Amino acid sequence: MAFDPLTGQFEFSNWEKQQVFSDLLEFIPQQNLLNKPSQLTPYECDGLSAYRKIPKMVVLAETIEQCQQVVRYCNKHNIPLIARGAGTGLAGGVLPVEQAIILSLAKFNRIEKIDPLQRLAVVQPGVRNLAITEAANQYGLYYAPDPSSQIACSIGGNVAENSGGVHSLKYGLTVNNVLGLKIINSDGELLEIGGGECMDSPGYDLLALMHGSEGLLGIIVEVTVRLIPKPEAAQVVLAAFNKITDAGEAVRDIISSGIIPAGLEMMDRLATQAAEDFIHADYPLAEALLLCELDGTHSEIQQQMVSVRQILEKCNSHDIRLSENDQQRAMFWAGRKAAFPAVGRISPDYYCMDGTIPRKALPEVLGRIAEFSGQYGLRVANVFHAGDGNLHPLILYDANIPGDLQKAENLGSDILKLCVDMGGTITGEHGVGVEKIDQMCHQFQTAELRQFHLIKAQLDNSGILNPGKAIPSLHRCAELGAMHVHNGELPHPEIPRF
Amino acid sequence: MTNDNTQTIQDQVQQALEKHHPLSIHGSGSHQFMLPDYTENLKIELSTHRGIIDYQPSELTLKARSGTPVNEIRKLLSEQNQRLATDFPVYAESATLGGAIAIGHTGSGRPYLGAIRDHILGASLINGAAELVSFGGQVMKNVAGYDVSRLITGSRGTLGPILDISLKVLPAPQQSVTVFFEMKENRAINLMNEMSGKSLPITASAFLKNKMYIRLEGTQAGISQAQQTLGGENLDDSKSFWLSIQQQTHDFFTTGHSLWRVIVPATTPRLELECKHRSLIDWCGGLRWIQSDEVSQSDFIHISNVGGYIESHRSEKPTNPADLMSPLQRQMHMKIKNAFDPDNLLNPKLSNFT
Repeated sequence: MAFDPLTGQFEFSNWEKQQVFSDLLEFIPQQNLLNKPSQLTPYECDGLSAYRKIPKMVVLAETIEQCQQVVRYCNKHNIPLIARGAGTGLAGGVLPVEQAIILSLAKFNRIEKIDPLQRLAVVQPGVRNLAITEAANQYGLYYAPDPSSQIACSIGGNVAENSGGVHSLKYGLTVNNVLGLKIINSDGELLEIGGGECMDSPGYDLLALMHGSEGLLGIIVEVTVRLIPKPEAAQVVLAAFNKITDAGEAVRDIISSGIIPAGLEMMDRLATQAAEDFIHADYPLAEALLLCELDGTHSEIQQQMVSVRQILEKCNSHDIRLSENDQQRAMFWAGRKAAFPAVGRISPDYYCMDGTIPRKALPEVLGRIAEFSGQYGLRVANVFHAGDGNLHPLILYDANIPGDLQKAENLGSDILKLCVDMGGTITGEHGVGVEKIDQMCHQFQTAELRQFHLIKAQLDNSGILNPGKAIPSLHRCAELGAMHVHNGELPHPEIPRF
Repeated sequence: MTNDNTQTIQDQVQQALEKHHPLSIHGSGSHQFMLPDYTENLKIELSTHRGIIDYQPSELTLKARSGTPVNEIRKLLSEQNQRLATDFPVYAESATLGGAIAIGHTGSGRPYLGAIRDHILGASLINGAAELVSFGGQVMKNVAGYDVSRLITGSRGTLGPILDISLKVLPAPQQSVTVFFEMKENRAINLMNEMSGKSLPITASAFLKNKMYIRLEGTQAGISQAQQTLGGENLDDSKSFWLSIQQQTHDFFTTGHSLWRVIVPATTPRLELECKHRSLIDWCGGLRWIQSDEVSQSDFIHISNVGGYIESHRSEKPTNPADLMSPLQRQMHMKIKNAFDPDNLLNPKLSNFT
């Protein structure tokens, strides 16, 4: 094996660039083989730009057969291979490793079929998330998962990361909205996973296994997604609270009352202030701001909105506003959706976390984060998918101040440990990649990590697919005295992040 | 009733491992009719490993041991005005949560409320190395590590005895109503799919004996609006009708003929089978139950040609899931099996992928 999960050691060949280039020319057109520094630089990182490495070569594949040939070639010659979509991931999942070839699937950008009656679409992996919804729109349908980078991120990447979004509370994550995949395994063979147009398939749930596997178990070359009817209407209520614990209670009470909002988002004072200064969404300034979206038929929304309003009042919200039309609804969301870049304006650097906790722990965790913030002397802006307990605390620091980055890393590490200790997880939707690989040691015991490595070893015997990501080696965990967390910056500031 | 057998179960797998002796894993036996006899001399009985470990109504999560009867969970949820997030098939009062996951079939809500696996948040099992391994958790979103909690859906115990499962649960709808319409089969298949593409609170659709049934669930206001749009006649006892399909106690299922489960793309028109048969359509057309003692080779071919598959549900000869897979799919299953149980000790008679 070229990658030993026990030690984490790579033993990949140190290949000759010229030789591999001319070998690959046999099945890849020359213009799709990138090996000049100027061509390679865009592939040095993904959305986690603190980690960079120029890859040795990039292949822009155009057909499934070409992908198969590249996989077979890499397998035969012991060359690590990293499949890459739009490169918008936030955890360094497609960071080039030593000796790796990047297989870009960006040219796989065709929607192959939309079947409005059966409510599904068959798409190539490089199709942008939002492009599916745009294409389905004429049939009154859409693709539900809406990660914040949906204008740019690709569906293949969504599957690899099991992406979520603002509406996942009601409509689920990527895994709940994909019906089937075509993948290439590490031997270069093409196979179908899941039911595709059928709603069941015999055997183990391999479709679920592929979701969130971060390119370690196979290369996704086709995705069949479920489309759902666009709701007749949607309305947002915005509520301001003087105490963050009151907002936390409102979240709990709304869910307990039997209502599943399409979105339920929270921001603290610092995040709200930053968003307001940036977008001018006319947000009331308060310790906590809650945005609750209901969708469905007009009469459903009307009935549920009465209950939501009562709960918000009972939980001491002093300012409650209902969107009166779609334009106002978009404005209510605009501040929330721009919260990340807005925070970027008030601090030279920030570090985004992705922990998830049981909802009931929200008030306690927020209290503890405030304590950590005081201890480290760093501000933390809290933005989160409150409905499903997914926190995105943004730690504000200045990389130019000596020691600030280290403090931010330590604070982040404390937050993630807290999430795990409260029964939660280190990553709700961004993935592990290279960024959170050390925290995986806190999340899982040796037996589980070993089980992951056994799965990987079976499905990718030579270990060429995206080595060193997502699952830490057992040695790494053993040697890890303290967790190390690293900084991240966004290379695509134009893409909204929430 | 609560009973934690974790240690015993782990010891049993450990002993099987040391003696290199195959081990069979049993729940309540409510799915026995679908399976070949897979009993071994060494057995694990999971039906006594039971009890609800944690239930947090405000979190919408429930964690229970695998041997907990599904009906016990339902009862507890209904006391809090909640329910399982989709329809679970329950073929006997004693049917367990672990059995439902191990078989992995979902009831009528499948196209609208999702499959059972969609609502799994976490799971623990004992793997073939006799290690207790836990995956996922009790939070709504979790992408740390491979999704083993869902992978085990449909595993029939072959990856290890499941110890406990965490599920997402949902508030019970204010109202549940079923409307029905008289029409021919092809018209119904088309209409079910058309309606499912509209913003309507549909949670199940079926067709039986020239009647199309549509279940509507949600707020009273939403349902009355939908009823006005759809029309149709109200079914008197909506709840027991759908329950009789999940439990297979409806008259359709009780004729004594062989029962076949046919999975096809939902918009597939009426199946033109050679055999004499009766059918019940569920899942908006995606699941066709076929009653027949004469299913022929050409019927198998027809179903395969429309992009689906057929498996025995109640007959003398249960289908081996591996027979429905391509060689590469079988190989991938074999590899997963090897990753969990390299010595092939756990339910070996149910993991024949070669």
